[in-house]
Amino acid sequence: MDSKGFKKEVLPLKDKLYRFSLRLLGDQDEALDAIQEVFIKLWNIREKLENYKSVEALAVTVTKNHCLDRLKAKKTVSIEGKRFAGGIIDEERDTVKSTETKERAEIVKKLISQLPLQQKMIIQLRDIEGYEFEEMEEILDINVNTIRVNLSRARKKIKDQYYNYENHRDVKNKGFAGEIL
Amino acid sequence: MSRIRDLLEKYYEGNTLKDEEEVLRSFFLSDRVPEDMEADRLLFLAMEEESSVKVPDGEQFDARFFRAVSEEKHSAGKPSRTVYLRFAAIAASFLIIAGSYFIMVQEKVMQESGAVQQVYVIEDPEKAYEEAKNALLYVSAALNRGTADLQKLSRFDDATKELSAITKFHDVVEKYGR
Repeated sequence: MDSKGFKKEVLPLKDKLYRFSLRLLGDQDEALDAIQEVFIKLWNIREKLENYKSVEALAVTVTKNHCLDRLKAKKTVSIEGKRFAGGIIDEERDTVKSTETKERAEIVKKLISQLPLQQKMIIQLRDIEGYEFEEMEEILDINVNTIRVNLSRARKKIKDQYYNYENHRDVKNKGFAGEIL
Repeated sequence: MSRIRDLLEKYYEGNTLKDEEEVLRSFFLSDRVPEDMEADRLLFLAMEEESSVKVPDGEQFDARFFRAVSEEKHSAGKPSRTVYLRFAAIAASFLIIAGSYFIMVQEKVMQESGAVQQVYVIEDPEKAYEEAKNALLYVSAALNRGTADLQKLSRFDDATKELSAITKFHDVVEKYGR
């Protein structure tokens, strides 16, 4: 693949790869660095890209590996996914007074970002990027049953935790907050 | 409506197809969502918003990328390991060829001058012992002197440092090679 082909077929994946790295790394600058490095890796093997069944699946896989390596280096993985009760949402609770849709959607986004790593990747690829299960199997290197189970868990968890959050807040607004919290 | 509720149940079990998820998505992004489905609506809304996140400064991205990779190519200025190795290989072959040639010529000269043939025989064992002892003493003294000279080998190190100037030559060749 020459630079023209690269520009036409690989670089347009930038937003998708950026969203994926952002989901995993949780930081805009780091996500941007990550995709730049991923594109350089892909550029260095541009001669071989045509041999791949799907350049997009390859690109997402390379991004996944790159970000997971980064996370491993930072060792922040272990504290994820266990923070709903006393985490970011709790801090938010006082500041989010409005029930505007936009702000509620922000809550849901935060809940997504607090899922365990694998569920986060699965939700991102399926519900946000719209990949088929076969593509996800290839990218994540796990079988379709595991994907379905974790997808189900992730979707339910977000919904349940949102209800939890809403109920807590309603109670608080009615003046019983002291007894509950 | 009951179709939506069925699909939604399937969705939470992780059993919906892409098409079915598309049906749910357009339903929840519409304004006909009942209030008891607010959490589901927000879930789809949040996903939708997340899917439109873009690289900051995205228009500049491609240009910046191509600039970065072309700079990387140029600033490979520090010649790679393989380039060094190639130079070392050429230098080593030169040394071997020149060295063998020198030794062969030397041997031929010595043979012709008969230097190698100078052999003499001592009949008296006592005298032979003395001669042998002297010879060995001479060898040992020479050996000591020889190892002292080996110290000078460290100068070889210094010289190879000088040789690294060759990389400049390489840069120039690279530059004009383009």
